[in-house]
This record gives sequence, C-alpha cells and structure tokens, in this order.
Amino acid sequence: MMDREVIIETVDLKKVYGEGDGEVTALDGINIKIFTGEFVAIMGPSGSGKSTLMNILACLDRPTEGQYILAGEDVSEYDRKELALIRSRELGFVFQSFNLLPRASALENVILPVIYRRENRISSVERKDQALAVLERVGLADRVDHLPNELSGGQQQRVAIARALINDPLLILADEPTGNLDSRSSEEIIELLHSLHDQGKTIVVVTHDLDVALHTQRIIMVRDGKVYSDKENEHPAPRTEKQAVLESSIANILSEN
Amino acid sequence: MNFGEVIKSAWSSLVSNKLRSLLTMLGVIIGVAAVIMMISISAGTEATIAESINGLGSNLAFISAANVRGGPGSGPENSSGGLVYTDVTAIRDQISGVAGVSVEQQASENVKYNDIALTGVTVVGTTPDYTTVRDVTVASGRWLTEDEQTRAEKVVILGSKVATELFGTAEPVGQTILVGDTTQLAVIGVLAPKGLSGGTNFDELVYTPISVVFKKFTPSFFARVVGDRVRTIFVSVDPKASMTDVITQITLLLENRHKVTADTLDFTITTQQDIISTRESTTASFRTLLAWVAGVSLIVGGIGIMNIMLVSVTERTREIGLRQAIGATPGDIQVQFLAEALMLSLFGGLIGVLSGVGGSQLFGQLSSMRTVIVPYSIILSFSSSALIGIFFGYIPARRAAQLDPIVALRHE
Repeated sequence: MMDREVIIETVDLKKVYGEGDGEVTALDGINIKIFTGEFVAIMGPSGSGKSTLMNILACLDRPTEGQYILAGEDVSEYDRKELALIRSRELGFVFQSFNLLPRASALENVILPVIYRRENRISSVERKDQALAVLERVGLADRVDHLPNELSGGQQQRVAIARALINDPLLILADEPTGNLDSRSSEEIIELLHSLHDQGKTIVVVTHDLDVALHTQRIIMVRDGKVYSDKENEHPAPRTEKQAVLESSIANILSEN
Repeated sequence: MNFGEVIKSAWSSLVSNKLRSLLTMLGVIIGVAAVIMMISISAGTEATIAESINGLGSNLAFISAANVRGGPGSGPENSSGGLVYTDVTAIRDQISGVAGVSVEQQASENVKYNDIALTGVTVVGTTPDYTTVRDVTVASGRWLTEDEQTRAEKVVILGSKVATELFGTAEPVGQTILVGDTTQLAVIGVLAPKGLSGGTNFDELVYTPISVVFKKFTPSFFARVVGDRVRTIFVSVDPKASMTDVITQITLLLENRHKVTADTLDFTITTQQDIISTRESTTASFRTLLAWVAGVSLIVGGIGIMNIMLVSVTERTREIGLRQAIGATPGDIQVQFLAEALMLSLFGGLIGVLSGVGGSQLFGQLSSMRTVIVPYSIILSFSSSALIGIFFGYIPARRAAQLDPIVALRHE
C-alpha cells in the first residue's frame, strides 16, 4: 500500500455569491479529506455545488469561509498570483471541452504548462523530450505534430491529459472528462485515467456520468452544497480489456434493440 | 515566461492572421512614414531657400524705398518714397566699413543682334560696384567703369545665357547689339554663369550703366516724375566692420539727406540675416505644424492597435482562461498581450521608416522639390511607434489579465 498522506483537506468550506436578498450559498460547509493515490469521483445534480467545489479544489476560486489545505499548505486566502503559482506547480487539469490551443500542435500544447513554470526551468530540448515522453505515455507518440482539428475527440482529450501530466503534478483534476466524447473514446479515457492511477497518481473527477464514477475508488456525492455521501465504491467497474470489450459489445447489442 | 518565449508567442500570434496584423499596422506605418516625409520635404525646401539667400551674399544690406503716408506737401521735397541716385555716392563716400554700394534700375527691352531677336529681356542699369556687391564674375572682357557711368556711355555686359543665344560660340566682346529698337550698345564683357540666386537669374540679364537706363530706357513722362529715384540700394559691408554699426551710420546719413526723422523714415534697411531669420522661423513653425499633423495619424494608428487587441482578447477569452488554469499569473497574461501590441507597433514603425525614407527619396526625384532626410525624424517617429504600442496596448493587456479564469473558461 502507498503512503497515505492527506493531499486535500477542506475544513467547513463555504462559498456564498451575491449579497443580501440575492445571496446564494453554493457550498454550505464541506469537510473532506483526500489522500495521495486515491481515485475519487465527485458527483451531484446540477446546482449541487460540485462545480463550485471543483473550482476551489482547483485553486481557481477562493472559499468565502473555511479552509482549503492542499498538500499541507493553506491556500484559502492566497491571491490570484499565488494561486496561479500553486496551479502551475501542483495541479493538472483536464476539461470537458479539452481546451487545446487550436493553432498549436499536440507537442506545443503539451509543452504549454512548462512555459509558465517558475522553478525547475529546463531547456527547450529537455522540454521537447519530456513532452514526447508524456505523449507516449498517453499513446500518442505518432501524432505529436498534429493540430487539434486533425485529431479525434478522444485523441484531443489524451493530449489534454498529457498536458496535465507534464509538470508531474500532485493531483489531477478532471471536470467531466468524457462529457464530449462518444462511448468508445470515453472508455479509452477512463482506461487511461485508470492506468495513471495505477502508476500512483491522485485523481479527482467531477462527473454526473455514473459509468465514469463506477470506475473510481471512492464516490463523494454532493447535494445542496453539502456532502451527501462519501463512500468507497463497492462495485467498481471491470478493468480488463477483454471484459471491457465484452461489456461494450453487450451495451451495443442492447442499444440496438 | 522568459523573454524569448514572450517574443515567440507574440510572433506566432501575429502571423496566425497576417492580413489582420498588416491592416492593424497600417495606421502606424502611415503615421511614421508621414512624419518622416513631411519633415524631409520641409527640410528640403528650407535648404533650397537657405542656399538661395546665401547666394545673395552675406554682409549684404538692402536699402529699399518705403512710401511715406503723409502725402504730397506734408514733408520734404522727395516725400513720395525717397531714395535717389546721389544717395549712392553719398553712402560710398561718407560711410566707413562699406566695401561696395550698387544700385539697380531695371527695364524690359527687346535685344537684337543681326537676325536674332530676344524679346522682354531685363536690362539692369547699375554701377561699377555691382560685381562686388552681387558676387558675380566677368568671364571675358571687363565690367563698367565709373567714367562710363558718369558719361552714360553706351556699353553693355551680357549674362552668359544671353551671350550664347545671340552669338553662339563667337566672341561677343567688341560687337554691337541693338537694345530697345533704337539704342546701340557695345558689348564690353560677358559674365560667368551664375544661375538662379536670390530670386534673380543672372545669366538671363544684360547690364549697362544706370545713367544709360535713366536716359534711354525710362519713359520720358515717367522720368519727369521719378527723376533719378531708385528703388533699391545694395550695400556690401566690409566683413571686418560691424553690420549694425554701418546700418546705424547709413540710417543717420539718409535721415539727414532726406530730412526725415526716425518716425517718418522713407526707407527701410534689411540685411540678409534678417531675411534668413524670418524665413527660418516661418519654416520652423511650419515644420512643427506638419509634424503634429502627422503625429495625429500616429495616434489614430495606435487606436487601431488598441481596437484590434481588444477584439483579440475577447476572441481568445477561453485561451486566456486555459493559460491561467495551467499556471499563468495575471502578470504573465499582461506581458503576453503587451508584447503583441508592441510587436505590431514596432513592426509598423520599421516598415513606416523604410517607406518614409524611400518615399522621400522618390518624391525628391519625381517632383521638382528637394527632400532632405532628417535623422531625428526617423528616431522621433520610430520611438513614437514604440510608445504607441505600450500606451495603446496597455488597456487590452490589463483587461486580459483581469479575466477570471472560471468565467473565461466558460466563455464561448
């Protein structure tokens, strides 16, 4: 078993928008702990606050009250610049709509986070090597010079994942990573996330897709700004390729009828 | 981001839409080129004028007759604008520091030699000092003498072009020409070519004693009224003497002779320096005006850059959000967009400088006007283009930096 350190800890996290009569409480006291090496899904209906929670965990937003401690550092009151530096150093993002630069090749897209690194700066040759390595890790070694519009949805998302990995972050945050993908590509991506998890990465996925959530280890359910349930996934979806193929062909047959 | 990355990123953004970048730069290009060309045209004109004035001869003072508004009977005898020929000799004899005094009286006459006739030739009646004062040299033969002047001897010196037109390659000296249909004048000399200087083309004139012009080429009724009045007396001041000193002396002398006071002067004295100063200040203010006008077009160019940068920021909102998410600080974003604006303006400035210099030279060749490329105009307009980029790029860059990443990522 791996070293179980707390990587994410929120203490009574609250987020309120607006004032007075127009006040909206998006998060109403969230208390969670996530450990290194976990593969966690955060689920909830629209308006549950899961996106707000994700934004705070991603250091894109600050809580109104409460604390967010990331890898032992209390980032609750960091300013924009400090949060940007944390994101650069510690986090990797995967978005629903990929968010690749349309005029840059896969390689250039993957290198982008390195440009904004403040520490550990490397030469452009080293950068290219690192980018190639990580693209290989996601299975796109043969498409490094392709532009996004020359790649399928699944491939684009893989580039995005490679980009998220290049700075070797503590944590990967994925916001509906399969939302814009067909079922086949979705499976590829889920399989990829699985293998990253096997290699020791901590992954937090926000999703409303149960299929995705069932592949994770732990599901946190959020409703009305509060944690509704937080349990180990007792019925994890199967991992082997054979079984995956079997299941997907069953699903196809079922959908044809 | 380090410097190299900023440059690379800005450059790749600019070339991603070459047409748009070019159109955006156009304002700055035109502004810079306009400043350079305007200044070079005006500097060229200034130079031409300065040379023309210099051709007059420095240390030259002009005494011009000025009309007194008193009317007849309100002053001394020559009250209707009073320089007379005898003033010339007075000045020459009585003022120290004078190298030469000359006077001119002009007439326009037909000139004939054998079968060749020239119409409307300007006949300059003048004095022996003319060559000194006006800085002309005699190529063959000689100039007038005082004696010929006193006796109103019928002699003539030809300007170089007139000589060629009448005599071709033959030697004019010793020949006789017919001036004004009735008067025969003996050619005693030909001037060396001098060309156009101070508004006078010396090569196209003929020169004869002023007494001859008074006698032969001034209509009789006119002569009765005018007497021996002259319009302009030219005084060449000895370089070692003080110009102001000499002018004061002349003023006193003429006041005395004309019986006028300082308030009722019937003449004015101007020096070449006065003319230069007036011309200089006029052209200098004109030059400044032109530069300001061109500067306005630079500002318009800057507004164009700001406009396009704002559009660019809006278009790339998601990209900005993405960059922020992966670790770009607000400072990084601001620098990125400022660099793009600056690159646009500097490139525009560079192209503008090349166009301005090329355009000035082309203009100088194609038109009759002279152009002089002024280095400071290049420095001025190029550095303005840099400032324009920074100044007009600032607002869009700040706007980009202040985008909230969450909102930006949700943008269309």
